[in-house]
Amino acid sequence: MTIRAVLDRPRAKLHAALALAVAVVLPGGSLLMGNGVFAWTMFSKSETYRMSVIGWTVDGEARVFDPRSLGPHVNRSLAYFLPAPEVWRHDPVGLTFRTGLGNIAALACRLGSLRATELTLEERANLDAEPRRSVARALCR
Amino acid sequence: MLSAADRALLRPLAWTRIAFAGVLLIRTTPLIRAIDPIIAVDVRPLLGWPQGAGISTAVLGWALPAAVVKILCLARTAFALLFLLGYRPLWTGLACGVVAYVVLLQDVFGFTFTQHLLFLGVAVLATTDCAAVLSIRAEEPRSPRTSQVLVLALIVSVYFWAGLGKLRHDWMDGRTLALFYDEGKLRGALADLVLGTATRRAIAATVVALTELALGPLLWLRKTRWIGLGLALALHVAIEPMAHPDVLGWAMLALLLSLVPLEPDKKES
Repeated sequence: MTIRAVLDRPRAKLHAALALAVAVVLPGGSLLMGNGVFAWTMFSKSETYRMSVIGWTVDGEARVFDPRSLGPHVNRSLAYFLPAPEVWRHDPVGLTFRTGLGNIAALACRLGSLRATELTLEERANLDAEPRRSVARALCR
Repeated sequence: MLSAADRALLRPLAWTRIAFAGVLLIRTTPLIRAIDPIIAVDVRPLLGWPQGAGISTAVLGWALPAAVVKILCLARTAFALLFLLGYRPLWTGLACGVVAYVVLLQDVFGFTFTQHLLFLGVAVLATTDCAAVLSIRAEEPRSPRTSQVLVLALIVSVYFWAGLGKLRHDWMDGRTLALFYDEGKLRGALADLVLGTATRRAIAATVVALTELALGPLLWLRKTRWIGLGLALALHVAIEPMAHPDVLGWAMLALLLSLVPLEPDKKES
């Protein structure tokens, strides 16, 4: 049976389209458009990140918090990825943190009687990459 | 009318359906506790079951009510079981994959490649002739050859993209493996032997990347398929005790079953 005869079947056409989508478009597209979230990069990434949390009290005093102190206010999976202070943590979740940085800065208001908070996230895409710095601030009510 | 060669593809596809759905069911239910209590910590009582506390970590903030997520977790389990049994695989498999992704999207920090492979894999398998034999409701095969090619494409793409992603300086010189090793994410006697020095780590890193890239053509070509299957098995057997990569290796082995070459049955032709 020729390839053309095989591909005449509707189900075969579906298989061809799915193969292209699953094997090429999804992983390749995720690499081109993001950080390769669908590109089967398990156990190979060297991406690292670190985080600092600062809160200002109503007296204007700046207080530095351990990022892990946010743990009780988030779900377990997020808590697992909160890094120790000043430590480059090796896990491929820098982009995920960056996306929700504003929410986490707002959440940091719960760490004390604070007027405002500032969260700084630094990410390195690999061991040779320059750090990328993102800052989010929140006013506490 | 199917040829004998086409019919010979149906049994391996059915093996894959049963094994793959079995791995999915084990990973998403308390059954995982009996196999690996460490990776079972996120199964309470089912994978993705809402835990209540904390801010939403749903993708794009699309958080569903907890009751809905619980129903979806139960539905995913039911669909996976029906798919394993071979009952209307197109619908039960696709439903299982879609529902599983909806649950997964409720916690972006919970995303793992193992879950992605399981949920993508079940949806892909759903469209194949995986229930023409060894099922409670045998279906008329539609296109066995392209069914196998589709599963093959998924398998090859996993190895290809995994290998391609490693073709960077800090992987090939062994520094990334040093990170995993120092953190205890790669551990055990075999890890100590293979990753104990910088030179060995560089060699191991290169071998892994080249093996993954070689697996694509070795599995794709019929003449070298047995070599590819043997090499893939060796790769997963080596990685399993060092990295304990969730059930990723088991899911890949389940998919690889579909490529086992069987001799066509002359009597049926």
